[in-house]
Amino acid sequence: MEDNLIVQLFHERNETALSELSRKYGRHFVAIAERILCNHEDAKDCVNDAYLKTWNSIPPARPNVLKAFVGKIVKCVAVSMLRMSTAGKRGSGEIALVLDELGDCVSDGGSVEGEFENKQMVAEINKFLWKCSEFSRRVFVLRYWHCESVSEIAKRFGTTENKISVSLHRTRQRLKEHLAKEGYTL
Amino acid sequence: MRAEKLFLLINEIDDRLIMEAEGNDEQPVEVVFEKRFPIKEILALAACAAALVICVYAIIHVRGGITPPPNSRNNSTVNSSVVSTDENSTGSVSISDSSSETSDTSETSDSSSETSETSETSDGSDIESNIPAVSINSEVLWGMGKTFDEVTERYGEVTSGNFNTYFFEGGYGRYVWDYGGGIDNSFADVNENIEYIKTRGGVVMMDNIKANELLIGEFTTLDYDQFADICGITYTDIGEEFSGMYDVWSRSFTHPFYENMTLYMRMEEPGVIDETTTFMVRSDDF
Repeated sequence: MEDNLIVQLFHERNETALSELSRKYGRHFVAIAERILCNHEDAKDCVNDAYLKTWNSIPPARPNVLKAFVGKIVKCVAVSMLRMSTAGKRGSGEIALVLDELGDCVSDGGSVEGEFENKQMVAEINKFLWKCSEFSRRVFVLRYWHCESVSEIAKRFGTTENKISVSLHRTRQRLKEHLAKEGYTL
Repeated sequence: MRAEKLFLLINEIDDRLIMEAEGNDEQPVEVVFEKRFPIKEILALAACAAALVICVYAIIHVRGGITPPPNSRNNSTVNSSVVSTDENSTGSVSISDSSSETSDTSETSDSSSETSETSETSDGSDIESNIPAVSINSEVLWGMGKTFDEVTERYGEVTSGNFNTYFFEGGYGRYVWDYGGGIDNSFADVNENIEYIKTRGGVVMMDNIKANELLIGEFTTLDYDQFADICGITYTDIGEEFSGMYDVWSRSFTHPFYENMTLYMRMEEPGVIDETTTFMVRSDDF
């Protein structure tokens, strides 16, 4: 079923929307959650929670890209679950590595506070990513949004893990410089 | 903890980036050259060349050669369409030596800058020297493919601008997709703009572009056909439809180059074309 029809079902408060959403993207969402939670059962619970949040979000939301919209919710729920389960630790598996790597973009001082500033920073990150080469951009998003492992990304692009790692390292450094130049510190 | 914050910020990035990252899975970034002898490609190229030769021969010998229309020195589609629009919109400036014959024969061809350049060289005339005055609508397509310096040389210094639109002393503005290239980027046209959107992710994608990214000028006097003509798109009259999905009133345009490419005009107010009008570009052929 087309995404716009699924969204329409949500707007009509038709529960078929959830089954259609699950049928179309369920495996994808579970995979995202599993990369963060490192547990298949937890991942399924996470996705179910995300579906409930989606049900409560649409309407009024009218997502243009349903897959990304729900994917973001899945990730937020997964991070919340991870936070509760690890009580301040960074967890294990791919998410721990992802967070370690993102530490490269973080400086010693400063903080990120406020919804407005967050939105501004997201806009800056978007701007930065669109300036990157398509390869660097896709690798970065696959790693830090989709939480794919370096080896998975390397396989996807038919290249070496080393090349992916180097690309990620450079992009992180450039992102840090970009944010600093724009007056943001993390 | 701050890395986690950054992780959550990255979680909110543009949906198009997320979709783009997953797209084109089947296409590796590094091109691996095939070792086989490219016989198919050579044969296809040879066939194209032969067809071209036959066409040229037919034009020259069957129709009696290429004869410019009697009253036309600048026979480009660009000028033809622009003139008609200009006359219908502002009535201020026109290119007097563009004939209607030319307009008819080139009506179905594309309105890219290449067409314009070809026309300039084919008749050996300098197209710019024949334009009596600078007008927004009469030259709305001139900027396509031109560099920033070329445009300022013609229209004067920038008087105002924003991220992707500049206005010049001559009252002319053009859209430029300014991601990363700075101000020296070539000026883009609607086709480049759509091509950019189309190739950005290789996935089903929707994007919004504003009317002034397709066309800078006086919109209020244009009807839909004129607007479409200038922008190089085709107006399809589906009536004014209210989209419950996108919560907008829309008019539909199709693109001549790309099948399954639809531009939905999102109107703040039904029936009015203005700068704030946005298009939703939907490409369904991925």
